[in-house]
Formats: sequence, structure tokens, C-alpha cells
Amino acid sequence: MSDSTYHRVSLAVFAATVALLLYAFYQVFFIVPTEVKMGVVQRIFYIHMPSAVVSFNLFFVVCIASIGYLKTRRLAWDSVAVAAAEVGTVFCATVLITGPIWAKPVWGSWWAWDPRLTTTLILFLIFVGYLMLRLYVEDRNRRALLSAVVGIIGFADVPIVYMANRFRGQHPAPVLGGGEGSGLAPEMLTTLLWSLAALHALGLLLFLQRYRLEQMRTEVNELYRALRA
Amino acid sequence: MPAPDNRAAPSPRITLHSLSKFFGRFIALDRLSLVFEPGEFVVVLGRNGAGKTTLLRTLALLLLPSEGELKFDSHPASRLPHSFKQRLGFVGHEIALYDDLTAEENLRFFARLYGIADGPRRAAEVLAEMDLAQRAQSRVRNLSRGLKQRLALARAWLHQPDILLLDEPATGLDAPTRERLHEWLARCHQSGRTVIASSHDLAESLRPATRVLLLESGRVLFDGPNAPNLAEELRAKLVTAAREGAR
Amino acid sequence: MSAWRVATALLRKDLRAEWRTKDVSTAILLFGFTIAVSFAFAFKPTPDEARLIAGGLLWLGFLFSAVLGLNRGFARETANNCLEALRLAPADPGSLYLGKLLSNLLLLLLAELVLLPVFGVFFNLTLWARPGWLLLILLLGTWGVAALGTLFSAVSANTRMQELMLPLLLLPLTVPVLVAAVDLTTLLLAGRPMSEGGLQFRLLAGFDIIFTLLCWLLFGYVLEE
Repeated sequence: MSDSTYHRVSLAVFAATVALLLYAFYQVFFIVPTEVKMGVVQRIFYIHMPSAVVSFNLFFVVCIASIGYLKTRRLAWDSVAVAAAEVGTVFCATVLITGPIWAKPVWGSWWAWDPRLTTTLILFLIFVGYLMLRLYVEDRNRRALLSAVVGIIGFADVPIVYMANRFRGQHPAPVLGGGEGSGLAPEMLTTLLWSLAALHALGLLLFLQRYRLEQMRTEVNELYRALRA
Repeated sequence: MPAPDNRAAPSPRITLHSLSKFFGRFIALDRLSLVFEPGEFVVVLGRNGAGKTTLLRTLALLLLPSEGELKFDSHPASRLPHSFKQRLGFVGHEIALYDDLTAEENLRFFARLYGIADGPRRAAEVLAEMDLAQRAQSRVRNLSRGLKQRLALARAWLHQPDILLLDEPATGLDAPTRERLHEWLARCHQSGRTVIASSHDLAESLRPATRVLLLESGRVLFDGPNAPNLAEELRAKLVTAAREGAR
Repeated sequence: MSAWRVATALLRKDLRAEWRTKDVSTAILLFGFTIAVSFAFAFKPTPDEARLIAGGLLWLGFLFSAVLGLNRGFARETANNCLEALRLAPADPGSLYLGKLLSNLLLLLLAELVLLPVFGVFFNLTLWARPGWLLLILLLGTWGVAALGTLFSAVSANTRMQELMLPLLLLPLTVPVLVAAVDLTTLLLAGRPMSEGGLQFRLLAGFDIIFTLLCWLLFGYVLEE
């Protein structure tokens, strides 16, 4: 995308993100009622759950971008992949931090082998492995190629990790997710939707910045080469 | 002597069109446009870093071009099936032989990889041609640099390729062996094969070739037939290029 | 079929080289043994406890040793840049993958068969009550590790961190194998009917098939330059 288009889109997304975040904040802390059993700490659910959704969506983007790169060999796809991966890792970390913060006061233990949280942990490790791989490959094209392969395999693995942990019936897992809307009061659902929108907007904003940065690096390399020739 | 020519088709003609190869910011090959006719014997000269190795590895289909096109007989290299590599033979800087297997075992393995009928017989044949028969049962680890190089050449010759691509094949060889190498290359060439070999030693390598290519910074500095006093002319060109580059 | 010819040629070559040097086997066996001893010192379980945790210890031991073995196995191809010779050959990269997969699988299985009695001794396990099932679990689990490990050892050989990259990438991805294999082994050791592990068996088999296929398709990209 051209510079001016990028700046306009970026500004629009920034404005939307700020608006959504402010409104969601207002919703979470002033509108939505306190949950009966868990108390105030339950509000962290409105960060915890949307962050998980955002990180999974971003990982999906990594997979698509990886396939895109392998098919077209255009570095723009690789820039999409790394941007999505880095932002996804941050959101994933958020899930892993908010999970225990919520769990400890409510259930008494920091960690539970709930299949969703466990899968998020593995997803986090796969993301980190992906990023570390990129750090240690020098050549841009080689890096894009190898990351694409890892990205596709990593993404294919996530549902299998989830299934593997589902079958581990030993520990009755406290449902940290609260169910996707099951048993959620309507006011909570509304707040949840606003939080989802806000965090997705934030994710998109960060993604765009990172994507642009990577594209600029590619352009700099091309300029260097053009100067030499 | 190389086995008599029993190929069905002549060597393919190789075309490079504005071919570039980048490694990050480094331009290894800069918009090269060249044609190699079937049966040519080309020696590629240049200083270290001029692009000789990159060119040969690109022709051997080990590297993908960053820009531009490579064609074999008007077929784009990217569309060629893997079986096409049957027609290519390559010797690079590293010998690419398994240290813990014997010379013979290495060749038998590659014979199987290339689908050569009666691999063991062919392996023994090539070992004899390259004067390695006495060391056939030695592990590669225990061979001298020169012998390893000869074995690498043997491996490149195993499947009787139409195109021989050799990156500084004389490295590690003593003077008499180098002579034998030149003779062997000349014979390969006479059987109608295309031979493209690189060297960084101007005077030594010029003799057997029909065409000389001088590369500098990924570009062609000289491309013409081999002639008696070419070495001097090329040296002068290199000096000028170096001076211009320094400015 | 030429793919099979290439794969078996690679397998034979690897087995022959392994017979000469025993690089991969010694790595797996020595390290596996060390892990078994370390676990024995760290946990010192009673026979009942042992039956509960042995599955986990066994497969952790296998997994860590496998990482070492896989790295060593691929190092054979990077020495002298033999990989270049493989890439030059008129061989489809998928068949190269299959060949390496078979040789890795075989070597890992052989080493595990040797390590099993070692674990059995240290933790007082009756391993051989149902050998058929044990071998099946071993095969399915090791296959999963080898399938991903063969590809990722090639990936990590390309990085500056080299051997360290393999466990970093492999361990999270093989969690399903770890989980399923450990659960099945625990079932086996507890003397429970193996029909209870139906889901895990299907999970393992599915994992193995899916990732062998994926890695077979993607291996060519990893070899490119």
C-alpha cells in the first residue's frame, strides 16, 4: 500500500481503537454488574477471553500468510506473518498472565490444566519458537521460507494439542472461559462483545505498525542494492 | 577414457536473461544475460567474490535466481522436473562426500540415487578412470585433499551428465594431476558435452577452454574466445575495474 | 518407484554409516541412561508411585534423547556439505525426507528398546506383560517425534543457533504425542484394558499421518537456498 493510504488507514484504525478501548473500559468498570460468585476479579475475563480470541485469529493469519509466501514468494506475505506473530505473542502472553491472576483468588490455585489455557500455553511456546527461529536466520528470503514452513506446521498442530488435552480427564477443570456465551447474562455478553471489538482493533493497529516497519526494511534493502548497481 | 557417447539428445543450450542473485544487500550476480551453446567449453574467471561460485551454483539449480530467468533449451528452470538434474554434474568447493563411508560405498550410494543401472559396476569403472581403484576401500576421511577432489569429480561423472559445472576443480590438485584434469575435461568436451569450469588462476586454467568469461562484482567484464595472449589483456581489465571500483 | 529407491538408498547409507560410527545411537543411549538415573535420584518413587509416573518419565527421557539423536543424524549430512550432493540429485525432496525419516525412526526405536529395560530396572516396572501393545505405543509415539524431528533438524541446521533450535521448536509441537503416549503407557503399566485408550491411539495415529504428510510436502522448501 502507498504511504498516504497507509497513513489514512492507520489514523482511522488508531481513532477507532482509542474510541473502542475507552468505551470498553467504561463498560467493564462502570456498566457491567459484578459477577455473583467470583466478585470484582471476574472483570479480568473481559481482557482474558478476547485476548485469547485475538491471538488465535492472529495465528491463523500467520498460517495464511505463510502459505501466501510459499505460493507467491513475495516478501509482503512474510511481513504480514511476522507482524501477526509478534502481536499474537503479546496477546497470548496477556492470556497467560491474566489467567492465573483470575484463577488464584477464585479457585485457590494459580494454574489449572484446563484444555483451553493449556493450548494457549503451547501456542505461546510455538509463537516464541517461531520468533526465535526468525532471529537466528540471517538471509531475508531463507528466513521467510523457513518461518513459513514452521508457521504452517505450528498452526496445524494447535487443534491437535487442544484435542489431546481434552482427553486428559483426570483433573476436573474449572471452566476458566465461562463458556462462549453459555450462561452469560445479556449485559455481560454486550460488554464482552465491546471488549472483543476493542482488543481486535488494538491488535489490528499494532499489526499495521509492525507490518509497515517490516515493509520499510525490505524497501531499504532494495534501495541499497539499487545504489550499488 | 570417458565412456563413448551414448546420449539420446545433445546438451541443452543454457540461457540466462537479466539474471540477478542477491544475498540480503549483497549483489552476487548483477543482471547477467548470457547464452551457453551446447558443447562449449567455458572457463569462468574472476577474483574471489566476483560471482563465479554463485553463477555455477545457479546453473546447477542449487540456487534460485532472485530476479531474471534461467532457461535450458527454452524451458524455464523453475518448471523443470527434478529428473532434469540427471543431465547436470557439479563439483563445488566442498567435496560433499560421506566421511565414514569408503570411496566405493559413496559412489555406489550416488549411483543408486541417480538410478544408474548396475551401479556397482559403474562405480568401479569410474574409480578406475579417475585412478582411484587402489583406494576404493579407504574411508573418505582418510583420503588426502587431492584424492577427495578426484573422488568428487568421479561422483560428478558417475551419471555421465550432459553439462559439467565445476567450481575451481583444480583446487588441492598437484601439478601432474592438474594436467590430467585438463586432459580429462578436454575429452569430456570432445564427446559433445558442455563444460563450464571456474578458476581464480588466470594463466593456468586458460589453455583447454574455447571461451573465456571474466566476472567482476557479478557482472561480465569480458566474454570471448580463448586466444594466446588473453591472460595479459584480462589482467589489465581487472586492474582498471579495481581502480574504478575504488573511486 | 524411484521415490522408494531414493528413500531406501538413503536409509541404507545412514544405517551403514551408523554401523561404522554409532554416532546417533551412542548419543541417544548415553543421554537416555543419564536421564533415567537422574530421574531415579530425583524421584525415588515407591512401586505404586512408579507405575503412575513412569509413563511420563519414560517419554520425557525418549523425547530429550531423541532431540540429541536427531541433531547428530542430520549433522552427518551437513558435514562436507553432503546435503548439496543430495540436492543435486534428480531426487524429489519428498523422497529425501522419507529416507531420513525412516533412518531416524529406526535408530530411535532401536535405542528406545535398549532404554526400556534400563527404566524398568530403576523403577521396578513390569514392562513386558503386554509386549505387543507396548511396541505399538512405542512405534506410534516415536513416529510422531521422528516425523516432525526430521524436518525440524533440517530447519535448525540453517540457523545460527543450530542444535539449540531443534528442542525449542520440537518440544511444544510434540506435546500431543507426549500427552497421548504417556497416557497410553500409564494405562499399560497400570494393567488397565487398552480399549480405554482408544481416543489416544486415534490421536497418535492421526498426528503421525497428518504431520508425515505435511512434512513430506514442505521438506523441499527447507532445502532451498
